[in-house]
Amino acid sequence: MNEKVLDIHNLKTYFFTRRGNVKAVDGVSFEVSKGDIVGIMGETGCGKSVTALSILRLIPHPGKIIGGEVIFNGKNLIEISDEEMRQLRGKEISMIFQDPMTSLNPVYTIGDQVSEAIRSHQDISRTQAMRETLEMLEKVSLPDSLEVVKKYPHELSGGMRQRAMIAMAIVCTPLLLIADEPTTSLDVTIQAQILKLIKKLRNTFDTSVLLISHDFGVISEMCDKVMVMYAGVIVESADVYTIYEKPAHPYTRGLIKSVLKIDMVDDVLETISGIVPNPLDLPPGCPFNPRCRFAKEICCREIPTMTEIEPGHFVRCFNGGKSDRCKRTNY
Amino acid sequence: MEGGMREKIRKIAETHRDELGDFKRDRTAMLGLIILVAFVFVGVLAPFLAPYDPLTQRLPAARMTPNSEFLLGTDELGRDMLSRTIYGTRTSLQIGVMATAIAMIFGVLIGSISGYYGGLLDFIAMRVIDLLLSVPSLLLAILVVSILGASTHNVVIAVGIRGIGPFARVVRGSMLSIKKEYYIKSARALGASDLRIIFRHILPNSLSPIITLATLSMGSAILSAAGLSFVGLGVQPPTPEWGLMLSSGREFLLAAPHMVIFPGLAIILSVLGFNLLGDGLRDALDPRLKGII
Amino acid sequence: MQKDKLLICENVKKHYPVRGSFFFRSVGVVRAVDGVDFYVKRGETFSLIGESGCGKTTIGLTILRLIEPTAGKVYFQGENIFELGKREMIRFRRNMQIVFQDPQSSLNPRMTVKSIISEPLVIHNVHKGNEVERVLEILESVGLRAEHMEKYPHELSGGQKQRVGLARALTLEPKLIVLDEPTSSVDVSVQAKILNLLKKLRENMGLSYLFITHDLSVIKHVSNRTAVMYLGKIVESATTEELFRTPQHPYTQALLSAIPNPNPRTRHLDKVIVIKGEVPSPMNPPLGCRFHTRCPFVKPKCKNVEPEPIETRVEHYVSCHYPL
Repeated sequence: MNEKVLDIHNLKTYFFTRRGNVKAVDGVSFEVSKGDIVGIMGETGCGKSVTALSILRLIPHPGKIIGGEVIFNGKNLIEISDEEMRQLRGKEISMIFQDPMTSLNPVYTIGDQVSEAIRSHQDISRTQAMRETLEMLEKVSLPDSLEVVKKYPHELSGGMRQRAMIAMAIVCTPLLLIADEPTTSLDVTIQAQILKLIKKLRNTFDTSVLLISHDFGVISEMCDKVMVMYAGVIVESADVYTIYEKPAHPYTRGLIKSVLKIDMVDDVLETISGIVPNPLDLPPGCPFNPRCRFAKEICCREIPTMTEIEPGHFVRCFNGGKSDRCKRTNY
Repeated sequence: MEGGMREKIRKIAETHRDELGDFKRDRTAMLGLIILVAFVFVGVLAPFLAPYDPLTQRLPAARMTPNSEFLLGTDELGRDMLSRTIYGTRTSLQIGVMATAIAMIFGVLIGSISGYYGGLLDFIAMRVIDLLLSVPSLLLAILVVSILGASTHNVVIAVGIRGIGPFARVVRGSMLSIKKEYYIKSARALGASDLRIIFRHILPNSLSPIITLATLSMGSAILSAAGLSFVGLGVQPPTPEWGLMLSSGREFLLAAPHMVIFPGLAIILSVLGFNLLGDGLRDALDPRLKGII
Repeated sequence: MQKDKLLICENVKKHYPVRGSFFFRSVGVVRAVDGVDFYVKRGETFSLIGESGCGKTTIGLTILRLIEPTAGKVYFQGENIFELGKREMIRFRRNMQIVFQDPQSSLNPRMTVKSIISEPLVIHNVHKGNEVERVLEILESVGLRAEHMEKYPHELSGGQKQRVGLARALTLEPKLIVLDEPTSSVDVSVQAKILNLLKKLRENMGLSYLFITHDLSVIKHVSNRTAVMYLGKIVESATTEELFRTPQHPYTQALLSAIPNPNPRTRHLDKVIVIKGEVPSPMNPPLGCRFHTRCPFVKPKCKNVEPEPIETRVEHYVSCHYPL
């Protein structure tokens, strides 16, 4: 049994806006074990990115973490001081984002930025930092590291920028790497390279990875465990095979069925009726109930709690996984 | 949700809402609006509000300090300061609105064509605007006045011409950025003419910066006009105009300061009003501040 | 038979001059589209697939003359579009329409759904008097309802916005619609609905689609024939089934192997054919075969001689000296 690197209990992050309160993350609990790649899967507005930012306490105004615990390596991140948190970021927990162009400072060279990341956590000389920078750039398969250190972000391609960002993130061998849609803006061939890189890093350094994506193909290739989020809560959580073959929550089932499978041709794709609810105007009861084929009377009144329907497989649904499950065998 | 949690959230919501600074912003804009509405009110109802005819001279009663008969005193020719200041509102507002209208119409036209078509046309137009903006307004006014003569009419023209530059630039900027939007490409794919695209698609989406600029321009137009009248190149006597009043009051600054104070205050307040409203509008119409987060 | 070819592109090129710091002096040329040939048959969906910078979007815009071409010909129902005058072009636009990828910026934020959809009717002066009826008709065909007519774009969801964009394109009853990444900016669940809708419309209205995308899994579901683009040229084209079953160009192979598989049991990340390096700049495409700098099977001939398309199997063309 692997030790837990991250243990989140009932995390709540709300945004207090002029038009009302947005419950972006409304009671999210999960854990990440050492060396695991855990995926958070969901569509726009489900709260997956806010969850990631909450872990690092990078929530912008008017948002605020109002409840829950984020236990990382024995410490509750919600309670530690700003200074302690700052020291953790980039060192023990790192994050990479979707758009490397806006995450890299355009007026500094790659070499400067990676070196700075190193020197902000280790007391070493500039030369030593540069040496480690070059090493790190090689590790992320950036060819010609001597040339790349002198370049500015806009002089690199999207894939190279993403690698540079990964280099900055892992330079202090963090325990946990949070990757928020790391390949969404990249071409599919580059995406494959980056995903391979992340996997290689996990294998080499035993880094745990929290991978956030709306693309089930990416989740499937990378993750051991998957959590599906909808309207600020986790609706289902299981290992990746179970999620694909025995999805129990109606939303997950709908999602899996909508995913285009390269090895199958459906004449008409199955869809989920309705649209994602307005976060300012969530329906009473289970947030998915207006779109759910199996909604019962209780679903419109009360919010279901997470129940374990089989070992390791959790669902937040009053039908508890018994709504006619689609069992997939092989394709 | 338990009651305790509900209470906690409500408390946090309160603190956050104050911090937003919305309220502060709205206050200043409201103030600006109130000031301007007051001035418009005064300007429109001048004949009913002014106790005397602003042009009637009473030489024996010249330079009287504020008293019960003449609430703001009289000027060097014995004319009632209050009535002149009130009528001055009319003059200034008229000048402000008309000069801004000229600036806006020509500025939008030039900016639209320049920004939409680009190329050599754009290059030349922008250089002309650069030239226009580098000439000090006073010099420009002197030029206009020497060609056309000094009058209220020509002040409007001079100030109007000066104001074209910022409008042209703002609209050109809008054109350039909105041109890239997909709905513009779609309009062209549908067969929309350039004219239709400019007037139906791009300009309506450029309203915010144009409105903000128009508001601020009116303030500066009034200021410019007052300045020109002050040096004799603008509104001619005996028309009541604050700049003119400042000019004639200047000699008597120490002996009869009321002749300078009241028109001066009027200028300050009216320009302040436009600026506050303009700033408030700019913030309110800023699309980045709209929406949830 | 030529008759059933609705759209024929012949050697279409679009080059952008790059200006140096002293205005108007040209220092180079971006060869966004550098000689592309393909055709679209009546009633079919033809896809152009490729990664960023390959020129697929440019070609879509060029065909509609939203960008003026540098060279080449495009025949629509036998007529060369590139030779039409301004007036004729406006009239011609009724035949071909386009739907863009970003629902956010595809709709004028200050126009209601009704105005957006009826605009083409106004421009071309059709259905005079009963625009509303026509708008309602179209709204229904894309799965929206009368209540959506008075709404503004910001009141709609991404999927609904995309439907409005589609409705707008359908108003004039075009014969061909260019779809530029129509589902790239929407969620997976919405994507499925849009694709279903597109299929239904094509069947009901006898449309043809030119489907431009980077997403291979999408074309598997919608496309009859597909062409793969790289650096401004088409490197392979065939029926979709054939392309997936027997890809013959190394780039196509690499592309197919890179698609992440949603079935975790058949993960293949470690078996991905990795093509090294980055896409070369379209200002300086490599000599010979454009792909040779990254091709795992590169041979001497590839570096010097540009391959011409050869028909290796029935209706399957590859531009490669050593097709797989």
